[in-house]
Amino acid sequence: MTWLTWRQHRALFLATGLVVGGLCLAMLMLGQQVHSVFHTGGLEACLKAGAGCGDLRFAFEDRFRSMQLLMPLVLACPLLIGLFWGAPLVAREVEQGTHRLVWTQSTTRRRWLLAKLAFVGAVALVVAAAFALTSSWFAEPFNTINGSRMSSGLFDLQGIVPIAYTLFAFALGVAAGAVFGRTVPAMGVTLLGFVASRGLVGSLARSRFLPTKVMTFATLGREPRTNFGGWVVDGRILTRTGEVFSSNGNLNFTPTSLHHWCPSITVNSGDLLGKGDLQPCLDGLGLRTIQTFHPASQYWALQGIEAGVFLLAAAGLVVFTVWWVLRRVT
Amino acid sequence: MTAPLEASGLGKRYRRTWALENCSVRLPAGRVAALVGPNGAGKTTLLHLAVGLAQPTTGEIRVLGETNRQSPDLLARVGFVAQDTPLYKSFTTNDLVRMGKALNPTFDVAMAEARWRELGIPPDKKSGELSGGQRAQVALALALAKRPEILLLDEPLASLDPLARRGFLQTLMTAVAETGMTVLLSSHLLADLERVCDYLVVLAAGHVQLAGTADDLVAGHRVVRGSRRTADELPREWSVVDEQTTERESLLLVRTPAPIHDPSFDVSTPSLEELVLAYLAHPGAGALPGPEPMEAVR
Amino acid sequence: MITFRLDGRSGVATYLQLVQQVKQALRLGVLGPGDQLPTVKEVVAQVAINPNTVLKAYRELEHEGLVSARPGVGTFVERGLEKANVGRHPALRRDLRRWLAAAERAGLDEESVLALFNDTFRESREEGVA
Repeated sequence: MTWLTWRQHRALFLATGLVVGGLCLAMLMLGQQVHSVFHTGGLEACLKAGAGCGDLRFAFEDRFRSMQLLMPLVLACPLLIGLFWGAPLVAREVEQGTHRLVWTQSTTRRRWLLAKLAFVGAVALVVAAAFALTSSWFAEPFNTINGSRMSSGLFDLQGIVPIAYTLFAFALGVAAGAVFGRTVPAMGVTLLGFVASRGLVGSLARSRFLPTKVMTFATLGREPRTNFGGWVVDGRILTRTGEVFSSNGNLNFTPTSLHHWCPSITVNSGDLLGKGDLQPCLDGLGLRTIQTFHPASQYWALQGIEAGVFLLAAAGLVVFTVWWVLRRVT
Repeated sequence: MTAPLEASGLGKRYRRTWALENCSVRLPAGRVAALVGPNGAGKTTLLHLAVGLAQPTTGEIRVLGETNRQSPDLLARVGFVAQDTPLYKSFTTNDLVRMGKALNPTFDVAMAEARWRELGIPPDKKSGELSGGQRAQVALALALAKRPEILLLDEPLASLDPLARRGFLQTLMTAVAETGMTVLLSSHLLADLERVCDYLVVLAAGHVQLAGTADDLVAGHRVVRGSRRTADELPREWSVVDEQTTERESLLLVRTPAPIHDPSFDVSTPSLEELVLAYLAHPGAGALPGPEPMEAVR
Repeated sequence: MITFRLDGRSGVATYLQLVQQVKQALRLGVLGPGDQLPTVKEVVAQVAINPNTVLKAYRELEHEGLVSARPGVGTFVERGLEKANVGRHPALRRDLRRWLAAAERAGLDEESVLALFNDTFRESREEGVA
C-alpha cells in the first residue's frame, strides 16, 4: 500500500518539492542578506538600545521592500498543500473511477484511506516543518524592527503554527475532495474554507485565547516598557474627566476636534501649529492612555493554543473523511 | 452447494429513487451469465452491491456464501472490472502488476506478464497511452491474475470496437475454459452475449424480470404465427409475452411449458436476442423460473 | 485439424453449427478415425464462445458414436462418415422427377415448389419422421 501511494504521488511530490524548495532557497538567500545588513548595518544595535532609529530603519525597509511580496507567498504555502495534495487525494480517484479498482482488490477501504492519509500527511508534515524553520529564521530581523513577533502577519509565519495550518489545509482538502468527488470544486471549497478559518481565528479568536493585561499611563509621559515585545490589541486615550479623546491610541487632531478640545486656540488656514502651541491645552486635558495587550511571555502559549485549535480541526476532518468514505462513497 | 452469487429481497435506494428493488436471483456455479437491461435498469447497482462498493438498503446479497462483501479474504476470490475499465493513467502495465501483487495474496504475476506478451502490450507503456481495447485487456488481465472464483464485469464491451470486443471475449472464454469460474457480465449489447453466455438475468426498472439458463429460456418460448385470434381463443397454458397483430394475422411470442402441435400455427424457436427484446419491450411480463428445476437440468 | 467458423445470422444454434462442421469435415475426409478434435480451450480461444457450448457439441457427437472423449487427453474421431453420393440413388431421383412433373401440372411455379418442399421437409423432421 505504501508503494502504491508513493507511486501515485511521486510526480506531485517532485513538483511541490521544487516549488517549496525554491521558495525556501529564496528565503535562505534573501534572508542571508537581510540578516547581514541587519546585524552589521547598526540597526540591530540601535534598536536594542531602545531608540527610534528613524533613518536606519527607513533605509533598511526601503532596501528590503520587495520582501513584502514574499510574505503572502509564505503565508499561502500551507494552502498550496491543501489544494494540490489534499483536494485530489480522494477526489481524483473518484473522478477517474480508480477507487473501484483499488477497493475491489484484497484490501479494505479503511486501510487504503489511512495509508494514503498517513503517507501523504507525513510528507506534508516534513515539508511544513522545514518550511516553518526557514520562515522563522527569515522573520527574525523583522520581529525586532516591528518590536514584536506577535502581531498578525508575523505571528502566522513562524514558530509551530505554519505546521498546524499545513496539516489543517491538507485535511480540509481531503475532506472536501471526499464529499464532492471532484477535484476542482474541492479545491474551491478548500481555498474558501482555509482563508475563512485563518481569517476568523486571526482576527477574532486569537486575541481571546489568553487573558490580556491592561496598563494605564500618562499619554504625554514616557511609555512604560511592560508591553515591550507584546501584542497590543486595544489602546484608547481618555481625558481627565473620562471622555474618550481617541479610540485608537493615536494623539492627533482634526480641525473640528481641535476646536472641540482646545477652543482657546484659533487657527487660520495655512497656519502651522507647533508642539509649543498645543502644550498648554494638552496639559489642561490631562490625557491618559489605557492599553490592553498580550505580554511577550504569552508568545509560545498563544502559538500552542492556535496550533492546537487547527490540529484539532484537522483531526476532526480526518475522522469525518474516514466516516464519509466508508459509508457514503460507492 | 452454495451459489457463487445469491440475492434475496435485495433493494438499493439512492436518495429518493430505488435503483434496485426486491431483487432475488441465484446464479449457478460455472455459468457465464449475462446481466441485461436498458440503461438505468440497475445493472451497475447490482454489480456494485455484489463487490461491496455499495451496501444494500433492504435484503441481502451473498457472494461465494459470504455476506460481508468488503472482507479482504472474500475480495481475494472475486474479480471485478468496473465500467470504463478504470486504471491509474500514469502507471505502466508493470506498475499495475506490482500493484496487483501488493494488494492481493494470490496474485499471479507470471500469468499477467504472459498476457502482455501475448497481446503485444509493452510493459513500460503508461496505461493512459493504451488504446481502449488494450486498456480493457489490461483491466481484465489484472482481474484474472487474482485467480478469482467469480468474475464480475460491468459493461466491458461498451467502448470497444468489434475486433477488440472479439479479442476481449476470446481472453475471457479461454480463462473460463481453464478455470471453470463463474462470470457475470452486464451489457446492453445482446448480440455479443448470445454466444458467450449460457445464463441470463434480465433487469428492468430495478426488478429482475427474467432469469434462467439460455437453453431453458429458449426451450420454454415459441414464436407462433397464425390467423388472427383473440386471447380467449389461445391455449390456456400459454402466456403471451409479445404480440403483433394485423387484420388477418397474429405473430406471438409465447411462454409455454409444452410443445405446440396445433397444425394451424406456424411455430418456430426464438433466438435469445428476440426473446430478451420481447421482454424488455414489455416490462410487465415476467418469467422467474424457480432455481430448483434449473439445477436439475445441470 | 479442423477450424470452426460461426455464422451469427444463420439462426442455427451455435452448438449445432459445431456439430455440422465436424460432420462435414468427416464427410469430406478432412477428419478421419484417430484424429483429435481441437480442445475446448483451443476452440474457445479461436471463436470466443462459451466453453459449455463446445462441450455440448462434443457430447452430441459422442452420443452419435462419431467421437469419443479420453479424459485428460482429448476428444478423438471414432469413425468417419460415408461420403454422400447423390448418384447412388436412381430410384429416389425417379420418384422426385415424377412428383415435380405433377407439381407443374398443378400450376406451381419454381418458388412455390421449393417452398412446398422446404415446408414439408421441415414439418416431417419436426415430427421425427425423417
